[in-house]
Amino acid sequence: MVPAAYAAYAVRAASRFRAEAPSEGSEGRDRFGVRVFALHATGVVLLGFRDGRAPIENGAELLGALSLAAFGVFLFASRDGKARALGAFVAGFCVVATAGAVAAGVGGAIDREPRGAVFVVHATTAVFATAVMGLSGCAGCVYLLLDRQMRRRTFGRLYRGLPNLADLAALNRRAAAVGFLAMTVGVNWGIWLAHKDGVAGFSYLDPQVLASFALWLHFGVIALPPRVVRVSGARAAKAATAGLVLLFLTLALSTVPGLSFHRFS
Amino acid sequence: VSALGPGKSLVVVGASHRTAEIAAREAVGVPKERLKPTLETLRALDGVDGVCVVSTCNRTEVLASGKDADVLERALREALFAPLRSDAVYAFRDAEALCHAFSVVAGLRSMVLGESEIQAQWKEAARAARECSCADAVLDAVLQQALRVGKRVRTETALGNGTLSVASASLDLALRVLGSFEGRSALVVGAGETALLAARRLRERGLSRLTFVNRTPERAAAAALEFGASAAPFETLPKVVADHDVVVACVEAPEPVVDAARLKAFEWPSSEAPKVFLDLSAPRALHPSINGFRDAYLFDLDAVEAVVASHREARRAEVERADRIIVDETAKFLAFRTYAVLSPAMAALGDLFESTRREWIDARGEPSTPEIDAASRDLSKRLLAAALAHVKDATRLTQSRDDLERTYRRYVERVG
Repeated sequence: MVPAAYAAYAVRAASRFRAEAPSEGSEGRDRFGVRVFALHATGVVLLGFRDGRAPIENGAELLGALSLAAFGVFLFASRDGKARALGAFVAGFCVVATAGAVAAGVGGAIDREPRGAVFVVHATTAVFATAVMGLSGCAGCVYLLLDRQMRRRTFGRLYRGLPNLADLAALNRRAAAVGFLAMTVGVNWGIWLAHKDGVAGFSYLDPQVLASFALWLHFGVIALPPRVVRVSGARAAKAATAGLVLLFLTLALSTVPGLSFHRFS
Repeated sequence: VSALGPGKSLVVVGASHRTAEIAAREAVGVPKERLKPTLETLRALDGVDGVCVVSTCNRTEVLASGKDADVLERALREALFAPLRSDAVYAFRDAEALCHAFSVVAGLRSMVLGESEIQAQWKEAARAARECSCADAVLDAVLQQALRVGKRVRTETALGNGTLSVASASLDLALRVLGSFEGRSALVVGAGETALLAARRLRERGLSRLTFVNRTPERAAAAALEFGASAAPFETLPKVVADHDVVVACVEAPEPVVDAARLKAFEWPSSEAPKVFLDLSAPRALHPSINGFRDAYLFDLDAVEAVVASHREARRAEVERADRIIVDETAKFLAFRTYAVLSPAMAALGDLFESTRREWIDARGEPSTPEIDAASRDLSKRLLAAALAHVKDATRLTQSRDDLERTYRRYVERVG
């Protein structure tokens, strides 16, 4: 049901590109988006009550949580209607992620003791940081797309439907800043947790730990004021797009058996 | 027989931006303070039953109803449009006049296609005519119906969305980069008509800081004074470009006045914000090499025209939809008028049938039975229904839907 709801939202959001002319004035609250978010959040809460644990213990559940966080962050970022066209991209990702999570199996019994609240803080902050950084990367991709349209003088429906470059640049930078802060908490909390629990195989040279540090630094640079690092506009958009690729690589590292101690199993 | 019924004609006489220069339009314009006296003067003309004057910066039109269209048109031309050449004045009658009125309110005849200001101006004109008791029943119905048509076109089509003029389209391009002009600065190169128009549009859209640069410093200073802006010497142009977010060039120059090499000499780009260069000059005043800078966007007249064309293309379907709505509403209006004209005649025919029926029953010389009474009533109703159907068919033949579509096409060809 949740993937279907996201698919409906994606179709609805994509319909703005079919419009002959852009709508004018404020767009009001995204009630449909709020309902989709509420549906997913309710599902997660019910799953947690049923299983008696936080539904964030395996890869499939993390994928679902990532979708929820990404969509929630998008709804917040587009509350003034300016970046609502990104909904087609974000909801599209959520369709794939939630469908993958459902196929892999969310909820149910796990073959070990559920982790405590301390782990949940690490996992949720890391998931939130990932979602926000993903949004920054998405804004960067769309920025480059619109930049290309304008330079090639292709003023079609895509050009009319996308947010303007200034809004995309602002969204890119703000999301990178929030993602950087959230990841600061998530990574440090995780390191502390690994030391506290004596997690087997933990090392600062672990590929996933290194990739996470790289991601953290990468978005940290995007978040810095342009006067300091001279990363703005198209350059920041390219950096965010590269960050998005790095983000997917980091997530992928966790799925390769034997590569990292940090596995979503 | 007029489309509006026997003995009733509607005439529109006017001059608009399509037929008359601004000076000519000014000569026949009716300012607000003169509107009511003008209405009363026109109402007093021979053959005028109802009159309404719509006067905007782009058009002055008089709608009048009366018995004879020829008399009406002649009277209105002489009373209000005498100062203009005859080819600057247009006139439409009956169904064409309706099509014209409806398409004007829908924004199809406006300078910027689909603009909505005309709706409010029309409403104001209708109110003035009503307050002066200058709108008879037919004219009042036309004025009201035109407002409904305008509303329907704007609700059911996307005709009013976006903009089409070159100045607005170029600023729209800048907005797609910068998001808003608030807190931004613009440099206008030139002080001619286009430069001043661009400056006006920039100010209207909330631009904070404006600077003029012109080869003739006096003209730059005068423009700066008019807009509360500053002026800079022409020699400092590459340097001042670096201090502004938007550069609008509207100058006549044999070769570009700004290029990448000259900007680099002044250590630009150095700012973190993107810059927009709008070149509204022909030949181009901003060298295409500027587009090579990372966060610089140069749009010349070709780019602006591409946007305008894309809007126009996107609106073609909307114009066709609006045309269909206008034909549809004209047909509805005429049908309504037909019923309004026929109703008294049909009521009289009904009375005649009923009195004839009673006379026939009385002439039989014996008391009527319920069966005879019912049968005679039924016969009378059937005859009345048959007569009504014939009259309706005959009316439809005089102004069928196909006729209306042909009339509308003819009208569109006339107005261009």
